[in-house]
Amino acid sequence: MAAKVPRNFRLLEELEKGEKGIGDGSCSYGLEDGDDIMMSNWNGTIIGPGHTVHENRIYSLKITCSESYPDAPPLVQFLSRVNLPFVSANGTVDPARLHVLASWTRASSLEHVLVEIRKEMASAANRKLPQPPEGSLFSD
Amino acid sequence: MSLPKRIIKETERLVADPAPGITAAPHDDNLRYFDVTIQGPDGSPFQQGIFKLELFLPEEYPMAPPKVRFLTKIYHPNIDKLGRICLDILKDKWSPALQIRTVLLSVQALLSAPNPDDPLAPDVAKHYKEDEQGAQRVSREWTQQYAS
Repeated sequence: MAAKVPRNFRLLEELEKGEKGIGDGSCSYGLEDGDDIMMSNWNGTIIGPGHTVHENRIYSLKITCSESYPDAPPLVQFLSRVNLPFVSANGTVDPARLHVLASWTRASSLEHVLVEIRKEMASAANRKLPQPPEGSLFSD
Repeated sequence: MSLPKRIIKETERLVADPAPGITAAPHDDNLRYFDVTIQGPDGSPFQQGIFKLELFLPEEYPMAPPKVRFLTKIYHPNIDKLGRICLDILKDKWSPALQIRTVLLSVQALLSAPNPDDPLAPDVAKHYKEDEQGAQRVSREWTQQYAS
Protein backbone atom coordinates (compact mmCIF):
# COMPACT_ATOMS: atom_id res chain seq x y z
CA MET A 1 0.00 0.00 0.00
CA ALA A 2 1.36 3.41 -0.96
CA ALA A 3 2.14 5.91 1.77
CA LYS A 4 -0.95 8.00 2.48
CA VAL A 5 0.02 11.67 2.62
CA PRO A 6 -1.73 13.29 5.62
CA ARG A 7 -4.01 16.29 5.05
CA ASN A 8 -1.62 18.99 6.26
CA PHE A 9 1.38 17.81 4.24
CA ARG A 10 -0.85 17.39 1.21
CA LEU A 11 -2.12 20.98 1.60
CA LEU A 12 1.46 22.25 2.02
CA GLU A 13 2.33 20.58 -1.31
CA GLU A 14 -0.67 22.19 -2.96
CA LEU A 15 0.24 25.56 -1.45
CA GLU A 16 3.79 25.36 -2.76
CA LYS A 17 2.54 24.37 -6.19
CA GLY A 18 0.08 27.27 -6.16
CA GLU A 19 2.81 29.72 -5.12
CA LYS A 20 4.90 28.72 -8.13
CA GLY A 21 1.89 29.26 -10.39
CA ILE A 22 -0.18 26.63 -12.14
CA GLY A 23 -0.66 26.14 -15.88
CA ASP A 24 -0.87 29.30 -17.97
CA GLY A 25 -1.95 31.46 -15.02
CA SER A 26 -5.64 31.47 -15.94
CA CYS A 27 -6.41 29.78 -12.60
CA SER A 28 -4.68 30.47 -9.31
CA TYR A 29 -5.19 29.86 -5.61
CA GLY A 30 -3.59 30.61 -2.26
CA LEU A 31 -4.28 30.75 1.46
CA GLU A 32 -6.77 33.39 2.53
CA ASP A 33 -4.64 34.08 5.61
CA GLY A 34 -0.91 33.24 5.55
CA ASP A 35 -1.07 32.59 9.32
CA ASP A 36 -3.74 29.88 9.02
CA ILE A 37 -1.72 26.94 10.36
CA MET A 38 -4.58 24.51 9.61
CA MET A 39 -4.74 25.77 6.00
CA SER A 40 -8.54 25.56 5.89
CA ASN A 41 -9.50 28.70 3.98
CA TRP A 42 -8.32 29.40 0.46
CA ASN A 43 -8.89 32.00 -2.26
CA GLY A 44 -9.23 30.94 -5.86
CA THR A 45 -9.20 33.09 -8.98
CA ILE A 46 -10.35 32.16 -12.47
CA ILE A 47 -9.78 34.35 -15.50
CA GLY A 48 -12.79 33.91 -17.79
CA PRO A 49 -11.96 31.94 -20.94
CA GLY A 50 -11.63 33.85 -24.21
CA HIS A 51 -14.34 33.86 -26.90
CA THR A 52 -17.07 33.35 -24.28
CA VAL A 53 -19.31 35.69 -22.28
CA HIS A 54 -16.72 35.34 -19.49
CA GLU A 55 -13.86 36.78 -21.53
CA ASN A 56 -11.71 39.25 -19.54
CA ARG A 57 -13.74 38.72 -16.36
CA ILE A 58 -11.94 37.81 -13.15
CA TYR A 59 -13.86 35.48 -10.86
CA SER A 60 -13.05 35.14 -7.15
CA LEU A 61 -13.89 32.00 -5.25
CA LYS A 62 -13.66 30.82 -1.68
CA ILE A 63 -12.50 27.26 -1.10
CA THR A 64 -12.73 25.50 2.26
CA CYS A 65 -10.78 22.34 3.07
CA SER A 66 -12.30 20.42 5.97
CA GLU A 67 -10.55 18.10 8.42
CA SER A 68 -11.27 15.21 6.05
CA TYR A 69 -9.61 16.77 3.01
CA PRO A 70 -8.40 15.21 0.67
CA ASP A 71 -10.56 12.18 1.45
CA ALA A 72 -13.51 14.55 1.14
CA PRO A 73 -13.70 17.25 -1.55
CA PRO A 74 -13.36 20.94 -0.66
CA LEU A 75 -16.37 23.25 -0.39
CA VAL A 76 -16.29 25.70 -3.27
CA GLN A 77 -18.17 28.98 -3.47
CA PHE A 78 -18.13 31.79 -6.00
CA LEU A 79 -17.73 35.25 -4.44
CA SER A 80 -18.12 36.92 -7.85
CA ARG A 81 -21.62 36.62 -9.26
CA VAL A 82 -21.86 34.17 -12.11
CA ASN A 83 -24.60 32.28 -13.91
CA LEU A 84 -23.66 28.63 -14.34
CA PRO A 85 -25.86 25.54 -13.95
CA PHE A 86 -23.76 24.11 -11.10
CA VAL A 87 -23.62 27.36 -9.09
CA SER A 88 -26.50 28.00 -6.68
CA ALA A 89 -28.22 31.33 -6.01
CA ASN A 90 -25.76 32.15 -3.20
CA GLY A 91 -22.67 31.18 -5.17
CA THR A 92 -22.12 27.70 -3.74
CA VAL A 93 -20.90 25.13 -6.23
CA ASP A 94 -23.22 22.10 -6.12
CA PRO A 95 -20.83 19.15 -5.68
CA ALA A 96 -23.30 16.79 -7.34
CA ARG A 97 -23.27 18.86 -10.52
CA LEU A 98 -19.55 19.36 -11.02
CA HIS A 99 -17.82 16.19 -12.14
CA VAL A 100 -14.50 16.73 -10.33
CA LEU A 101 -16.34 17.14 -6.99
CA ALA A 102 -18.91 14.40 -7.62
CA SER A 103 -16.20 11.87 -8.51
CA TRP A 104 -13.62 13.19 -6.03
CA THR A 105 -10.62 10.99 -5.15
CA ARG A 106 -7.41 11.65 -3.21
CA ALA A 107 -5.72 12.23 -6.57
CA SER A 108 -7.96 15.27 -7.21
CA SER A 109 -6.73 18.70 -6.17
CA LEU A 110 -7.69 22.35 -5.80
CA GLU A 111 -6.04 22.95 -9.16
CA HIS A 112 -8.29 20.35 -10.81
CA VAL A 113 -11.38 22.02 -9.35
CA LEU A 114 -10.51 25.47 -10.71
CA VAL A 115 -9.38 24.15 -14.08
CA GLU A 116 -12.58 22.14 -14.50
CA ILE A 117 -14.80 25.08 -13.54
CA ARG A 118 -13.02 27.20 -16.15
CA LYS A 119 -13.47 24.46 -18.74
CA GLU A 120 -17.19 24.36 -17.92
CA MET A 121 -17.40 28.13 -18.49
CA ALA A 122 -16.19 27.53 -22.04
CA SER A 123 -18.43 24.54 -22.80
CA ALA A 124 -20.94 24.80 -25.62
CA ALA A 125 -23.82 24.77 -23.13
CA ASN A 126 -22.41 27.54 -20.89
CA ARG A 127 -20.29 29.86 -23.01
CA LYS A 128 -23.19 32.09 -24.02
CA LEU A 129 -25.29 32.08 -20.83
CA PRO A 130 -26.37 35.61 -19.86
CA GLN A 131 -24.21 36.87 -16.98
CA PRO A 132 -24.73 39.33 -14.11
CA PRO A 133 -22.90 42.68 -14.32
CA GLU A 134 -19.13 42.32 -14.31
CA GLY A 135 -17.54 42.75 -10.87
CA SER A 136 -20.77 42.15 -8.89
CA LEU A 137 -20.62 39.87 -5.85
CA PHE A 138 -23.05 37.32 -4.41
CA SER A 139 -22.79 39.25 -1.13
CA ASP A 140 -23.97 42.53 -2.77
CA MET B 1 0.75 -3.28 2.33
CA SER B 2 3.33 -3.76 5.05
CA LEU B 3 5.44 -1.06 6.60
CA PRO B 4 9.18 -1.25 5.81
CA LYS B 5 11.16 -2.96 8.55
CA ARG B 6 13.31 0.11 9.04
CA ILE B 7 10.27 2.25 9.94
CA ILE B 8 9.01 -0.41 12.37
CA LYS B 9 12.44 -0.54 14.07
CA GLU B 10 12.74 3.23 14.31
CA THR B 11 9.24 3.54 15.75
CA GLU B 12 9.89 0.84 18.36
CA ARG B 13 13.02 2.59 19.53
CA LEU B 14 11.38 6.04 19.56
CA VAL B 15 8.68 4.74 21.85
CA ALA B 16 10.84 2.47 24.05
CA ASP B 17 13.86 4.75 24.35
CA PRO B 18 12.80 8.32 23.58
CA ALA B 19 15.40 11.08 23.20
CA PRO B 20 15.37 13.54 26.13
CA GLY B 21 12.69 16.19 25.70
CA ILE B 22 11.24 14.57 22.60
CA THR B 23 8.18 12.39 22.08
CA ALA B 24 6.99 10.85 18.83
CA ALA B 25 3.95 8.61 18.45
CA PRO B 26 2.56 7.22 15.19
CA HIS B 27 -1.11 7.65 14.30
CA ASP B 28 -3.07 4.38 14.59
CA ASP B 29 -4.49 4.79 11.10
CA ASN B 30 -1.25 5.95 9.43
CA LEU B 31 1.97 4.51 10.79
CA ARG B 32 4.04 6.90 8.66
CA TYR B 33 2.47 9.92 10.35
CA PHE B 34 3.71 10.94 13.80
CA ASP B 35 2.54 13.35 16.48
CA VAL B 36 5.68 14.89 17.92
CA THR B 37 6.46 17.12 20.89
CA ILE B 38 9.75 18.90 21.48
CA GLN B 39 10.64 20.59 24.72
CA GLY B 40 12.29 23.98 24.31
CA PRO B 41 15.99 23.58 25.25
CA ASP B 42 17.19 25.05 28.56
CA GLY B 43 18.99 28.32 28.13
CA SER B 44 17.06 29.16 24.94
CA PRO B 45 14.13 31.60 24.70
CA PHE B 46 11.98 28.52 24.11
CA GLN B 47 12.82 27.02 27.51
CA GLN B 48 9.82 25.45 29.28
CA GLY B 49 7.78 25.44 26.10
CA ILE B 50 6.28 22.23 24.74
CA PHE B 51 6.06 22.51 20.96
CA LYS B 52 3.79 20.29 18.91
CA LEU B 53 4.97 19.10 15.52
CA GLU B 54 3.88 16.62 12.89
CA LEU B 55 6.17 14.34 10.93
CA PHE B 56 5.47 12.25 7.85
CA LEU B 57 7.65 9.58 6.24
CA PRO B 58 7.03 9.75 2.49
CA GLU B 59 6.91 6.69 0.27
CA GLU B 60 10.59 7.24 -0.70
CA TYR B 61 11.83 7.31 2.92
CA PRO B 62 14.67 6.73 3.80
CA MET B 63 15.91 7.77 0.36
CA ALA B 64 14.00 11.02 0.85
CA PRO B 65 13.87 12.98 4.14
CA PRO B 66 10.89 13.03 6.49
CA LYS B 67 8.55 15.99 6.24
CA VAL B 68 8.34 17.92 9.50
CA ARG B 69 6.31 20.95 10.54
CA PHE B 70 5.61 22.88 13.75
CA LEU B 71 1.95 23.05 14.73
CA THR B 72 2.66 25.38 17.66
CA LYS B 73 3.29 29.00 16.73
CA ILE B 74 6.94 29.91 17.28
CA TYR B 75 8.98 33.08 16.83
CA HIS B 76 12.16 31.75 15.23
CA PRO B 77 14.07 32.97 12.14
CA ASN B 78 14.21 29.53 10.54
CA ILE B 79 10.55 28.58 11.08
CA ASP B 80 7.81 30.31 9.10
CA LYS B 81 4.20 31.19 9.91
CA LEU B 82 2.98 27.81 8.71
CA GLY B 83 5.51 25.96 10.86
CA ARG B 84 7.77 25.00 7.97
CA ILE B 85 11.38 24.51 9.02
CA CYS B 86 14.53 25.60 7.19
CA LEU B 87 17.06 22.92 8.08
CA ASP B 88 19.65 21.55 5.65
CA ILE B 89 19.20 17.88 6.63
CA LEU B 90 15.50 18.15 5.75
CA LYS B 91 16.54 19.20 2.24
CA ASP B 92 19.81 18.78 0.31
CA LYS B 93 21.88 17.50 3.26
CA TRP B 94 19.57 14.55 3.91
CA SER B 95 21.24 11.16 4.10
CA PRO B 96 19.54 7.78 4.53
CA ALA B 97 21.92 7.22 7.45
CA LEU B 98 19.93 9.82 9.39
CA GLN B 99 16.79 8.81 11.27
CA ILE B 100 13.61 10.27 12.72
CA ARG B 101 15.46 10.58 16.04
CA THR B 102 18.39 12.51 14.56
CA VAL B 103 16.01 14.78 12.66
CA LEU B 104 14.08 15.65 15.81
CA LEU B 105 17.29 16.21 17.78
CA SER B 106 18.45 18.57 15.02
CA VAL B 107 15.17 20.48 15.18
CA GLN B 108 15.58 20.74 18.95
CA ALA B 109 19.16 22.00 18.44
CA LEU B 110 17.90 24.58 15.96
CA LEU B 111 15.85 26.09 18.80
CA SER B 112 19.10 26.67 20.74
CA ALA B 113 20.95 28.00 17.71
CA PRO B 114 18.76 30.18 15.47
CA ASN B 115 20.48 31.02 12.20
CA PRO B 116 19.27 34.43 11.01
CA ASP B 117 21.66 34.29 8.03
CA ASP B 118 19.58 31.54 6.42
CA PRO B 119 16.09 32.75 7.24
CA LEU B 120 12.71 31.35 6.37
CA ALA B 121 10.90 34.10 8.26
CA PRO B 122 12.68 37.25 6.97
CA ASP B 123 11.00 39.65 9.40
CA VAL B 124 11.95 37.50 12.41
CA ALA B 125 15.51 37.10 11.08
CA LYS B 126 15.84 40.88 10.63
CA HIS B 127 14.66 41.37 14.21
CA TYR B 128 17.19 38.77 15.45
CA LYS B 129 20.02 40.46 13.56
CA GLU B 130 19.23 44.03 14.59
CA ASP B 131 18.11 43.49 18.17
CA GLU B 132 18.82 39.99 19.41
CA GLN B 133 17.68 40.65 22.98
CA GLY B 134 14.43 42.22 21.84
CA ALA B 135 13.80 39.33 19.45
CA GLN B 136 14.53 36.77 22.15
CA ARG B 137 12.04 38.56 24.38
CA VAL B 138 9.34 38.08 21.72
CA SER B 139 10.36 34.41 21.36
CA ARG B 140 9.92 34.00 25.13
CA GLU B 141 6.54 35.74 25.07
CA TRP B 142 5.31 33.52 22.24
CA THR B 143 6.60 30.45 24.08
CA GLN B 144 4.57 31.43 27.14
CA GLN B 145 1.52 32.30 25.08
CA TYR B 146 1.39 29.37 22.66
CA ALA B 147 3.66 26.59 23.93
CA SER B 148 2.69 26.09 27.55
